[in-house]
Amino acid sequence: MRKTTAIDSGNTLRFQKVSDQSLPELACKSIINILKETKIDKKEIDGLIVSSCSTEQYLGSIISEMININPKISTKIENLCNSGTSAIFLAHSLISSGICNAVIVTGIEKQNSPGNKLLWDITRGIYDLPIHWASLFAKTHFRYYNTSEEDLALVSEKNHKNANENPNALFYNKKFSFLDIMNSKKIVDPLKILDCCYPCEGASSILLVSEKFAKKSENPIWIKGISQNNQGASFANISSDLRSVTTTKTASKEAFNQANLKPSDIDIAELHDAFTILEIMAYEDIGFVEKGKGSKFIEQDSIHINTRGGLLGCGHPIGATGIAQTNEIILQLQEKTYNGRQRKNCSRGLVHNMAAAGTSSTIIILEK
Amino acid sequence: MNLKETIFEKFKDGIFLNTFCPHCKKQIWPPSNNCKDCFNKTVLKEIENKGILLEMSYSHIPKQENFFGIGDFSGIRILGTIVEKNIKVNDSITIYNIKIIDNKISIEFGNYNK
Repeated sequence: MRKTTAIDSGNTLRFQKVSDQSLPELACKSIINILKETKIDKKEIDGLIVSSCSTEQYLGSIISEMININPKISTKIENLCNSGTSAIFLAHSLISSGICNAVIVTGIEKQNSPGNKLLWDITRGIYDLPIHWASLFAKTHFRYYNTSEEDLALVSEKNHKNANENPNALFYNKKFSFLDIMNSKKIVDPLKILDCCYPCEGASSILLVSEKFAKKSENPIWIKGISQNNQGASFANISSDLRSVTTTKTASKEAFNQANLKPSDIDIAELHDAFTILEIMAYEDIGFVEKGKGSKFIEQDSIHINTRGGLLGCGHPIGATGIAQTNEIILQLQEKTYNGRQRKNCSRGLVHNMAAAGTSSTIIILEK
Repeated sequence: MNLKETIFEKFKDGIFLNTFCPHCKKQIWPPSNNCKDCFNKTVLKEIENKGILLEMSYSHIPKQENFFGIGDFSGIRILGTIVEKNIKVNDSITIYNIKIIDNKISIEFGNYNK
């Protein structure tokens, strides 16, 4: 893939349970933080993509008016938990095709988002919460690969600990020990409450620019590979083999091909840990470790994983999550994180974002 | 009545209908008016009441404290409640009971060989 799209800068607001701010207000607050810092002139913004599962109308144009921009395109993307990186994919397409030069992507969500549950899928029957399919993935992994509840707790402990270094995380001030996690309430076997992310409110934005505009950027981060794969929407469609998330495997392979890189070239990654088991499966499906060895990879230190705290530590504002994940990689590659969570010598990062039992996944590979 | 309503209505008689493509000779699930491959019109056909339990777990959620799992009935995969304690993954299962609760399919799996 040619270097056609760079990410100039980003911003994430602190995730919280609820506030009295409207979705457009949240978006504007995050976007204004970017516009105050960037060298790109506001008049040059020619695209605004909103990522949200809200049913509110015309958000793209409302937010455009509130920040007084007149872009060529302003629209909203909804793809459940995979909305954020879907919006980035669209922005990248607009720039690499030459239609736009500077596109803002903003993800916004309220805690009670309709995106928390897929209503269409009748194949889930009365077991229609995300934890039901996640528990079946976990049970399969336990049966085939001897993964244990202790392994899941290690993922939760690591990510919550990382969140303690991230002031934007919902659980920034909340410490959970391994025993707290192991003793937390069982919801659906083998998943406990601290194996699950927490739906919350949040906003996160990034500014993507063309190669030409990137010359004005202080520290552009380049999209080297971006790929999404979709395998329908129903759990029935993907459940013939619960050992892997096929969409993650397919999207990863294509993104690495585009980037002409391999998993061992990645220094830092944000993985979609909506449930602890999903992080372990992502290690394997992306190719950081061979299938079945995910539980042995949790405590490795060759790749920094979920340094912002993941979805487990940060919370999960559906439409904002993929953008917040991408923001973390940008900040790490630009060496702009603070509170002790900056990892050294990182030049390449990966973002993994997925939706609805893994029926859809996106992989983005970023480079300094 | 639309397709979903027609299928749900039949559940009241304990009959699980699904859409079938006569041209491709395969079940189309979730139900659809057209075959997802050849796009010919589908017909309604009762599903085979013998399947395999692909995976199972236990829900501790209040008012839903029971075993549940995913069954595969000749390619029709659906989550349901496991009403017999001795059932294991890969066992043959059958549908004991089916009803609609809050516009969702509530299905009970039992042991096929019992």
